[in-house]
Amino acid sequence: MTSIKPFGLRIQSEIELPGCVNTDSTPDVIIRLGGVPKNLHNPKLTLACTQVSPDSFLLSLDNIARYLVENGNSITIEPVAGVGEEEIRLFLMSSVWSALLLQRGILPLHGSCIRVKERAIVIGGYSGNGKSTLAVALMQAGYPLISDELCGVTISENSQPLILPGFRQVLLWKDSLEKLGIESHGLLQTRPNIEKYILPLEDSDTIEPVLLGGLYILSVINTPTYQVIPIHGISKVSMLVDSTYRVKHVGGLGLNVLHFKQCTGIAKSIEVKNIERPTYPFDIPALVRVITEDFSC
Amino acid sequence: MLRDDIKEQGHIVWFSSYPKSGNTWFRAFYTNLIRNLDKPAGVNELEPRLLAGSRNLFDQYTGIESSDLNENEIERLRPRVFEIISREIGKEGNPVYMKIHDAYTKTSLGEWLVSPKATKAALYFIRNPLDVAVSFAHHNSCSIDKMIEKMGDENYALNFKANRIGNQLKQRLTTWSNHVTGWIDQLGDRLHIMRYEDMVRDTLNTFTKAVNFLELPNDGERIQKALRFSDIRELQKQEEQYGFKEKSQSAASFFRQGKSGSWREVLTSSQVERIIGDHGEVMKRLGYLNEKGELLF
Repeated sequence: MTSIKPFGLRIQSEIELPGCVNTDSTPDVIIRLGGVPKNLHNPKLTLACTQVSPDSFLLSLDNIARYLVENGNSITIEPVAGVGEEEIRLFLMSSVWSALLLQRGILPLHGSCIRVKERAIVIGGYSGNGKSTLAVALMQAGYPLISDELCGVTISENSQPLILPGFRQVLLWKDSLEKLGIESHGLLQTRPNIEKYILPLEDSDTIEPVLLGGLYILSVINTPTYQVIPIHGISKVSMLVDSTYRVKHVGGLGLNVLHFKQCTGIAKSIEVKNIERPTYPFDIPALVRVITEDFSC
Repeated sequence: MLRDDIKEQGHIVWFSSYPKSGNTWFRAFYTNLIRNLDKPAGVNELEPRLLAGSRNLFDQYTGIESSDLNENEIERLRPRVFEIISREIGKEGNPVYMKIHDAYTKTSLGEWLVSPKATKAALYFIRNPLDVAVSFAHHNSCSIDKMIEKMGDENYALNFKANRIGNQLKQRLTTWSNHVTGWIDQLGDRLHIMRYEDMVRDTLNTFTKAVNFLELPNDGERIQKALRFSDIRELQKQEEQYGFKEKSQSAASFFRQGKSGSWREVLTSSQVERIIGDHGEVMKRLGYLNEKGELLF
């Protein structure tokens, strides 16, 4: 297995991460098991499970673990006794990792990312609309999958947005696996009693950052037709803001100004489109046809 | 009345109902009343936009993905989510309007799901269960007998699928009777009942009472205009033209007849008996049956 650097980061971790081998050189991020406080001192933002201040991010899950992310280079995890590594990893690789990326000035977009020729295309949209399912269907159609769930965008020296390839796995509900013709037998569940499975991805030929070309927001509507609607002007910026992973944390980290600048800058150089699909049926081949036809436009 | 003298209260004003009981009609009226424009508000832009069962809302205010949690964990966090929304959006002291279909129940930790700390007041919409059975069966594209069974099922919930996710969280309805008594017995004079049959036959007076309860501008002309703009024919016309995003995927249309008493043309006598058998006590209490057991609507 190739040693990957998820999101371009050298990792040293006491918890195994898919496809990652601990770095031999100076790590960018150290992940260790240890004591984590129950509260942050005077957080700027408190949500139901998270507390956020400019240098620190705390995620508390009563029956899983507490996670503390500091200064963009340190994650400490205090698991609840008896909790399996899959469950600890699940939250580490989503909300916790998005906070780490924000602290490092990397914009985390909520979506799945594929490569179309030399450009990265992010598929965003609300949870449940079918982002990961569409991304895997596109992968089956020959488009390499670069990232799922969390897509890290950094800005190059010449002000171009680049996608940093993420973890080599996709999470899919049982219903989606069946629709995609993938056998769930043998796949690990994200958590006991949740019918969501971890589909490991093969080693990628995409290990270097890829120029971000577009963002498609997948939405669901009650009409039988498909539509691809280009978005223009300031609406592109608000689509990027809305697509930021757990966007409320941005304010808690004191990064509103930087975040807005990043979204404005990215909006200038990418295409943003809304892609609407009927609520029912979720016809994956039809959706793949619609989006791939649009790729070739 | 929107009282300020109650300890442990928040800023959320609930627009609450068992489904198909007039909540959406009132939202159309409310939207037109507050916007006060010279043409009807779009049926897909109804206020309040906050929907208690929205998965995205939950994810935003917990800081994590609800799709990584089991149903019990989600339910236990929902009171916190409502409290944070109340605190964040209502921080200037403004009421936060939110639509809700959940029953007034306790979580597995014994807490009220509809957190009293988040609640300021509630409008509760109620409709003759004989008409609800017809309308809800149409909405769900199921048989009336099946619908009657669900209306008497303590475990009945909206949007529960174990093997996939949708845009909405599981929302427990319990039985029609429990839904009604759960809400109307809890909030005392902070709850105002809107009976669908009164909304139909004594429209101006019934809607004006709600306007007064909500302490919205009581301007006769403005109320009349909002009623015209939210008339069932206007809603049907717009649904035909643009579709309605809140329609269930299987129903032919959301806005059907907007009448009361249409059960008389549809239900068999045994179906009527069954509904009265299940819900007669609450029907008496709300004036749908008289002391002799005769139907009044």
